[in-house]
Amino acid sequence: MRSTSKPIFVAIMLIGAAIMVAPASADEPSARDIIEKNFYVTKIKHMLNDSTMTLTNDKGQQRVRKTRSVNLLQPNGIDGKIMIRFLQPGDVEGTGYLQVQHYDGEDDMWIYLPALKKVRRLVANNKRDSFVGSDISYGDILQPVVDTYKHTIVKSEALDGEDCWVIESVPASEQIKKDYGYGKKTAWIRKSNFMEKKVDYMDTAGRPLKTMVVPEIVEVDAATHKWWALKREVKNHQTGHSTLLIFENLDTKKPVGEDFFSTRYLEREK
Amino acid sequence: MLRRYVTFIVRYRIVVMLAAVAISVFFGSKIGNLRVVVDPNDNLPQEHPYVIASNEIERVFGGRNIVVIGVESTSGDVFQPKVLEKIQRITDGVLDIPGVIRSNVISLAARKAKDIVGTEEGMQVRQLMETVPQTPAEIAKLKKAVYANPIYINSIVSRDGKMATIIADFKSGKDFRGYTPIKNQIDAIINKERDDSVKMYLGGISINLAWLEIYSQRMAFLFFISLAIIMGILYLSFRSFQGMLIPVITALMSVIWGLGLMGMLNVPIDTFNATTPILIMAVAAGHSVQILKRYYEEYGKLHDSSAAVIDSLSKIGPVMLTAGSIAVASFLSLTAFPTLTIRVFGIFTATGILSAVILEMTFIPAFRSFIPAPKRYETEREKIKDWLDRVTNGIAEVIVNKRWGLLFGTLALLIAVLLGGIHILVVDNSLKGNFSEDSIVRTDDVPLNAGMGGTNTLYLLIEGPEADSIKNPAALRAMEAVQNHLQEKYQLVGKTQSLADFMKKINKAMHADDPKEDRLPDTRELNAQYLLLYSMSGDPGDFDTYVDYDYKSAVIWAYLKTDSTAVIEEIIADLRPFVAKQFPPGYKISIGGGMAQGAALNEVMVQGKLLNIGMIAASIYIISSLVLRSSLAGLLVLIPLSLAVLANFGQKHGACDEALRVALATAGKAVIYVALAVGLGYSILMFTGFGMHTRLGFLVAVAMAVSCLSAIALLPAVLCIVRPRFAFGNGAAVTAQARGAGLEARG
Repeated sequence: MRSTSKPIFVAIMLIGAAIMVAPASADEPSARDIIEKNFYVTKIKHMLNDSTMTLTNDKGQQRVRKTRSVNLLQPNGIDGKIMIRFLQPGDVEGTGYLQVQHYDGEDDMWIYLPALKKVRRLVANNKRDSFVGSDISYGDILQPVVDTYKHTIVKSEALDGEDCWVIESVPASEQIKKDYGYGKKTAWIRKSNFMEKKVDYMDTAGRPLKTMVVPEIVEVDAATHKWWALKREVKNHQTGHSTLLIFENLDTKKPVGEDFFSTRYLEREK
Repeated sequence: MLRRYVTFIVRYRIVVMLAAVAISVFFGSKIGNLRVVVDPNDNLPQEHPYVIASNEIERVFGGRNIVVIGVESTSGDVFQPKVLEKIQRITDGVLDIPGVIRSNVISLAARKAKDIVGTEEGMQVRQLMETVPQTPAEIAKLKKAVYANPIYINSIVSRDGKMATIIADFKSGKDFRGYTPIKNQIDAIINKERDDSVKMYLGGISINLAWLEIYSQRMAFLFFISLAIIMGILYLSFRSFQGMLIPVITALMSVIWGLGLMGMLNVPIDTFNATTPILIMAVAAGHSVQILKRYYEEYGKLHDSSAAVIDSLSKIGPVMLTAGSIAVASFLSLTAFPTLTIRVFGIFTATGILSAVILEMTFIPAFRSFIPAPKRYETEREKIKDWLDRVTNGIAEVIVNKRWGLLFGTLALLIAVLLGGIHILVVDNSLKGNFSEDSIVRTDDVPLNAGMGGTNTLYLLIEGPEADSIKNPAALRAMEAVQNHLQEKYQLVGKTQSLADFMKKINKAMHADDPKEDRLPDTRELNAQYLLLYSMSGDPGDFDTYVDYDYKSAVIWAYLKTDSTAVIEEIIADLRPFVAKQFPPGYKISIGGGMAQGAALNEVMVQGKLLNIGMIAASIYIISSLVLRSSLAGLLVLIPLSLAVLANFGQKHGACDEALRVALATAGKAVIYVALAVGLGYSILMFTGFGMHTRLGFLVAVAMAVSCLSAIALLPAVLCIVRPRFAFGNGAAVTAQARGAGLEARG
């Protein structure tokens, strides 16, 4: 458009454009920006927490697991080290799990079984495999870097009173599709803090696979705008299985040393 | 009253006919809703412990609607890219079939087939074949992995590697549309893969039941053959086109009404009830013959069609209504039975017969008075004596001359032969046994059964006292002992599987695949921790078919190469005390599976628990297939005719000889016609090639012969000997009623 000195006309045009295609207004971040912010918003330097994972199968039977975990972000700002100690049920108490993530390769994983008194290495899993029998995959725990998927903003809408961008993400390659097991992800990202509110997953054949909702979040570090989900619910539409993950006693203040993340520490059973 | 009603019908015949046609069109349009669905559970004794256990196992662990696809390599083993690619494509195809339980699909290419392997540092759980190996080295690696996981040998790959299977399970919930759609989709998938390099076989309960549905659907064709036979008999009976046509119209309309109503009520037709239209047709035709015969007699006197319609119907109507109501009520009373098949049969037959009665009282008189009157020679011909008269005369002479030895001797001999025959028929009750030996079901079963562990299932359900009971090392050790016992003692047991196999494999892997550690863990904690460990590598559903979610119950699957109920009974008898000794107190072990259910059926039959008819549904199975479906049906069909014989009898007080001759020459002849129509109509089922239908056809034919003989020989003979007051006395109710209905005999 030719430069014009008619500010009123420009203003009308802008308002019109804003009404017609609100998300495309000048200040609107791109889909990639949103996902990138979403990716980093949970990258907390270090954290201790307790969690309760309730698994429910399609017949309503439940398995409840309580754990305590320690997280430490690596200098690259992407990968983490996670040490999980199982507290309940009693017959797995003391079982330890250590994961050192490598976003560009296979993660290192060890497990310590108190009944065997041995640390054993677990050979890396597929990203699409289930994490301890839950509906959350390893690929969901360590989210793939932004450009693994191609993102587009579908629309903006309010979900349960919160303004969200609705973003569709499709795998950037057939290999990624196969590795992660998703044909498409549709995420509702909160405009206020970039935390996801809901994600619909389609399987590689395009069938609805599962839905994750994140109803409760907390800002753990106001200075760096880091957030954490206190509650995640995942329902698998194909198996009828569901997972409820609740976090408590979050502590991002207490310093976390590298010594937590050793096989020797795993053997301490506590 | 009735005369006024029939007169009314005849006057407004056009309206009546149009209404009947409109109703038929309406019901006809509803036939499209009919579905043929077979549920094997409909015929099983639901109260039997084997059946209860099977239902529970299938509810918790799956396995109700199994399909087994066998892929046999024609040269070498299945470990070659071309064959493996086929297995992968078939697996992918099966996973896309609507209603498949995706986590229960297992094959070399399935995600569920995991290679659990120990390494120096730990354990690795990986899908056996994520992509099809291409190089000899990759193929060797796959082969090694498969044979290192014994749980898969003889279940998804045969020991010699020549055959592999793809096993799938399907949901049977509310969207279930029968087994034929499943089979059709499987066929579409495997037909694309058929070539010289492989032979393919289909097995499993879903496929067998799909065939059952297909056989049942063939009944439509047999129905028309049956119709042709009945038409032939009718033509012989009346020797006129009209005489053939009218009963056939009644019969077909009754069937349309009955089927339409079933479609409207959304009641699925099962294997048994696929034959029911033939019964309805035969019964309706039989009723119609009775009235028509009477019409001809009246027309012979009156020479006015409408008057003859009114006269005949108002005289015979009450008997037809009474007999029809008895039949309808009797069949409806079957709805009290706990077996679905019998309930459906009751409703279906009752609606069919009710339709026939309604049509006889509306459409047929209207139609009869509408079409041209019979030609003179038709009525004359009807009176001509034929071979049937010679038969009835012969019987009459035997009774009149009091040759009881010959009569009762012959009847006793017949009954003895039938009892012997029934005894032979009852023995076989396996589903597969119903298919003939050259059927695809049986020819596919042979290589599958030989190549793999066996296609006949026996399950042991282990229920612990509380959650996590299965993690108890004593329970797992008992499971292992039972498996070893089964496999070592019985050659016919080709394969067993349970959670114990996986626990041993994990233990071995966690000890760097040390063969000495191929054993069960010693503590409950280690079992629990192994299971948690596995969940970090495997999929949540991997053990769903072996242990329930809170580890309270588990199942041992055993596969047998025989479907002989004698063998299975022997195994069960031996297993019971053995199992009881293995498990710690508080554990309940039940036996189930296809084989056990067959044994249950057998047990119920052989031990003669027939006394407990209301409780044991298996006996209902026998009663339904052997008695209700044949003798009772036969009896009900012949009730009006027997009444007619009885009524004719009473006419000539005391004059036994004369009464007998007359009764047999008139009503007795009609009895033979109807018995022939129903018996021959049903006998066509003997040629279906499906055992259950063959037996049914045979039984109904025999039952009709027996009922017919009872009505025309036994009943008159007994009457002549006993001379009961109700038949011979003056104030006898039946005689009076019969006379009131105009059933007096004609010379």
